[in-house]
Amino acid sequence: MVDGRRYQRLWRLVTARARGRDFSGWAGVVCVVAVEDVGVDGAAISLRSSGRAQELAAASGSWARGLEELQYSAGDGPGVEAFTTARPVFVTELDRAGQRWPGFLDTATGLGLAAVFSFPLQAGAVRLGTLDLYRREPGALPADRLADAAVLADLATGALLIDAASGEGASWAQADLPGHYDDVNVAAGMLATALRISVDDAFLRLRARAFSSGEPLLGIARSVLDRRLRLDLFLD
Amino acid sequence: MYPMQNDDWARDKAEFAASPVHAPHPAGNTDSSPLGRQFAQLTALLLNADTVAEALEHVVRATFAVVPDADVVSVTLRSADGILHTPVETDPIGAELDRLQNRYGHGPCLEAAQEAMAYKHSGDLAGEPAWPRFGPAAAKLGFASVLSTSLVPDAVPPRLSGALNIFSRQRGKLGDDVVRDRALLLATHASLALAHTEAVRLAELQEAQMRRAVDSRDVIGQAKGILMQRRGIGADEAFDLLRRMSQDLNVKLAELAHTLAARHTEIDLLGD
Repeated sequence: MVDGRRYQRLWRLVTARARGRDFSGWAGVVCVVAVEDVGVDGAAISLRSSGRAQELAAASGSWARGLEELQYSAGDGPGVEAFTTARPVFVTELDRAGQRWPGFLDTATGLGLAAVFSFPLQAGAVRLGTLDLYRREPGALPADRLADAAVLADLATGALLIDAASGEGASWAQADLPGHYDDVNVAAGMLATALRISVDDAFLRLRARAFSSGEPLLGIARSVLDRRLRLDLFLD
Repeated sequence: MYPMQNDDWARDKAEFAASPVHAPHPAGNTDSSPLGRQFAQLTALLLNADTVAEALEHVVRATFAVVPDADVVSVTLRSADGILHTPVETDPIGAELDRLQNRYGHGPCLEAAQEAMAYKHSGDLAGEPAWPRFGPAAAKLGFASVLSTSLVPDAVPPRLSGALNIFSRQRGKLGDDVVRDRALLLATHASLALAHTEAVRLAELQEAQMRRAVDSRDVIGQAKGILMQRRGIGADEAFDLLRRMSQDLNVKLAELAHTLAARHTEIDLLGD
């Protein structure tokens, strides 16, 4: 069973934080506590599915947000793998991870990522997404911090369920607001129409463009939306 | 080899989490106080609780222990039909107090259970203008002060919303910040206990809902893009058009978007 004192201490950190004025959902609080307590440089929680659909539930800052977006762009990465395999994925020296995630690694290393710890968020038999912890320094987490991270992953699961059930706070849980990756979907629709191809095909072409240009997928999508990028460039 | 720490997760997680805390932590200091010990004990009990009722029972007992003026403590849960249920209480009169509020349609537990992050307090139930019928009825049962704190904020069915209620026989009690803070902390414990014990039962349902929301937002975005490109219009216009079409055709927005995204090369839109 989970150590009660550890659970209690983290629980208290989370609930104390949740009383702050900038409260915008429990998932966000868990990310902030993860950064402060586990000693990582960034934390993010994403809802994931077996398909392409993802939703960013919370990130501790723009660096972590960028790394989550990169996993969305690439369609691979530690969080994607932790979700698919239902096991945590720890990479303590990213520059030695070889060809593991071709779409993710180079850009992530370029952004300063040195180690990553991804936990699947599991409620019973159901997997909701991942808690991804990012660090600029290579090396393993001490067992004590890793234990904290595991407990925070449990709290993150509860946080998602509470956020999804509450009408206020978490914008991702509100069905009538556009999702974090909305621009990519809109751009895929535009491209599909212009080239008379399927939306899935359009998405793959956007992704390929992002990969070859080194620009984030959201950036490519916004160039399409603003009509700064000519759509015939996406013809085969 | 990979610089990895992967192992059998189920086993390792238990081991990791059970390892002792060595590093001092600022928040850990309260463990030495009697209140801190109460909370430590409560959390340990909650983690071992098998049912929601058992978990709430622990919260109610802990509340009784850490709020000196408490004479009766109860947890009220509000079901989807708006009726209050009293699964746990330190005295059967707690259920009676809920029944009175069901009957009169007002009262602190009812209102705290309805509103997010709410406190409802009165230090003079007999003369409380907010609850003209419940107040005097509660006073007749011997209660003068009440503090109700909402549990799960802003819950939607099938999740239960609820309140943690503290009653005192003395006038002018339960209104200070110390009691409020303790009640909020205890209510948060109860909320998270509810969330965790209900999680397994509700998770599949909610997961399906979340998944549907994420997926339908994806196709709505794609449909917006299709209309923007076809009509040369902006995102807001495209969304309005989508909504109008959904109303005119009496088809759900997400369904319409899905059809459009899946079959856009075959579909001619009116006015194209």
